[in-house]
Amino acid sequence: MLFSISLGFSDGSYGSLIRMLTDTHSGHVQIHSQGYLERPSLFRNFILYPALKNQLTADPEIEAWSARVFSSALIFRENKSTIARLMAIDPEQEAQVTTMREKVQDGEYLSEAADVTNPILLGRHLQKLLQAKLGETLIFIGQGADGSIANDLFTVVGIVGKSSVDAESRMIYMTLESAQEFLSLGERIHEVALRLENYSEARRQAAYLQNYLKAKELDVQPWQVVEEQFYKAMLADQQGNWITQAIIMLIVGLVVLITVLMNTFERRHEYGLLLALGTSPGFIFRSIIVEMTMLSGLSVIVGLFFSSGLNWYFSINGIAIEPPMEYGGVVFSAISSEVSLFVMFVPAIFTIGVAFLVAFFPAIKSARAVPIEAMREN
Amino acid sequence: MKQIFGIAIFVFVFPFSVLAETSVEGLLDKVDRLYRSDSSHATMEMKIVTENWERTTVMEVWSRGMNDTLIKILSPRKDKGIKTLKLGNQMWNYFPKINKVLKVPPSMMMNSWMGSDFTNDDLVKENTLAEDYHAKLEEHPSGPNQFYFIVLRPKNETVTVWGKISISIRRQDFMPVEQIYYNEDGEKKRVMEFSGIQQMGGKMIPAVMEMRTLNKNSRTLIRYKSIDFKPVFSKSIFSFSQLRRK
Repeated sequence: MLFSISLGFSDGSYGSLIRMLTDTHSGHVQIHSQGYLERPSLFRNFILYPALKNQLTADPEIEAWSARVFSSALIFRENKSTIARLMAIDPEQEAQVTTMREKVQDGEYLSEAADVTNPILLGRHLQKLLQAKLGETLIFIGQGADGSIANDLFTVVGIVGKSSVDAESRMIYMTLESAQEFLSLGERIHEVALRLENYSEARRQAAYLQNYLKAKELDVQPWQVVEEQFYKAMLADQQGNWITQAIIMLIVGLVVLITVLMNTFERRHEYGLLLALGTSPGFIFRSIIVEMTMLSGLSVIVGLFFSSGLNWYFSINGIAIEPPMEYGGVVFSAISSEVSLFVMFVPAIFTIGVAFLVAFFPAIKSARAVPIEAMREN
Repeated sequence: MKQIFGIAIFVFVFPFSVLAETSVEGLLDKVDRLYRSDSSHATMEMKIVTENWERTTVMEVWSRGMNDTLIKILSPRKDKGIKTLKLGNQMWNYFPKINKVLKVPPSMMMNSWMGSDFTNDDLVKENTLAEDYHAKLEEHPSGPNQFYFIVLRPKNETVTVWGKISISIRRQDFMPVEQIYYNEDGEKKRVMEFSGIQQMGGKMIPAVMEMRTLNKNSRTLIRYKSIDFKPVFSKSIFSFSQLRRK
């Protein structure tokens, strides 16, 4: 039970971290022009041609996809100015891939401001810096993809980010159409983010799409590559976590060993009597092994019942972390457990296996006992 | 910058003064006088070709003396109405869409002007090079009988990114043909070629200038569509307050 809950929290925490990361920004798989991920550039763009759109839409494993454009610009409001990173999205498609819509703290989401020309969502930090209010117009100046000086007016329709430390609080979000016009990109984009039915299929799905797109000079990468820094930190942490799991396994093994030893040695005089009555040593050996295995199996069933219940409860409710901590760039506000075959059966098999193995020693000793000596033992 | 933007670039390289015709200074002065006029009004086309994009801009340019220039973009539609005003060694850009005038700060002087291979610094620098560079007449490496070859090297106190600038001038008519910019290691960095020499506005001038930035694999081609060396316009167009007017 202890082992199962420990594994559940370990897997659950990493799982929720991954979901948090992919849900808030990256998606599970991304498509870029070749080399964009290593060296992002306004000019490393591509056209989302109809055949690729159809492929993404028709693939049953892809729940949703969203095209994106990235750039930066100088932002002016009266006598205040700053440089900000721009991310352009299709509001409705993006809301299906990430939690973009939920990031809006004040005002309205981009798709709800259809009557506004060039609507933007302003990050909390930038809003404080520029002292901008909802409905105000900001001046944007940047570089166009045709070498021109991009310049236009944008209206603040919403504020994103709860506090100035949130990643999105330093961003400006705009519609894909506005950005493509502003940056003279035409129909070109920088990224397509995919949301899969199951994030653990990201590598396989990326490889499949990469094979499909191999002649198109596009890169398809799973979130493990897109968020490489986070993934490496997570793997390193997981390796460290196995030391904890090994200690728990050792404790579980010792407990099983003590239980088995007590169980058999306290009944040595009974085994002596059975041997004296003509029972074969082989039968004694087998009966101890079977008994210990069955006992451990029974305890595993009971343990599974309680541990699964607890893991299920904590997978839903989690345990809040106050204050939230940052891990690989993702703010982590709660730890939660996970119910999975791995979490259930690894501890179960381990416990039964340990019980089976440690039962050998007392079983052999009991089977080889001299009846008269065994019966004299108290 | 004497006549128009392109000429301004040319003038940048030819520090012009008051020296004898047979000397290197005299050659530069001849070229200088070729382009000099009290004022000018030109229409030109600027084509920029880079590895990533290509763009053609049509501009109207007014100039007054050496110091004042106004450039207004006529097309493409997206950039229509953008103006660059140069007064002395200061520059401003006006963007009608956002109704904002932005001064070009000293830190951005080496940045590209409107995405071209010319820098803002090329625009504002004029006859200061006459003071900043030593000019020497040398034998042209490939056509000594056809071209004069002037080499400009910066003076010790000059702050510049160029280690050397060479200029080739046709002997027959003193028309510039090519000017090459070298860095301090003697590597070629930019090449400007002049061509299409023809009568325009009552003068013989190279109607086409092509600037190539070698390490960027990009080029900017300027072609004069018309030029008037005796234009009539209000002097007030070279004022900051007039910049916002259509």
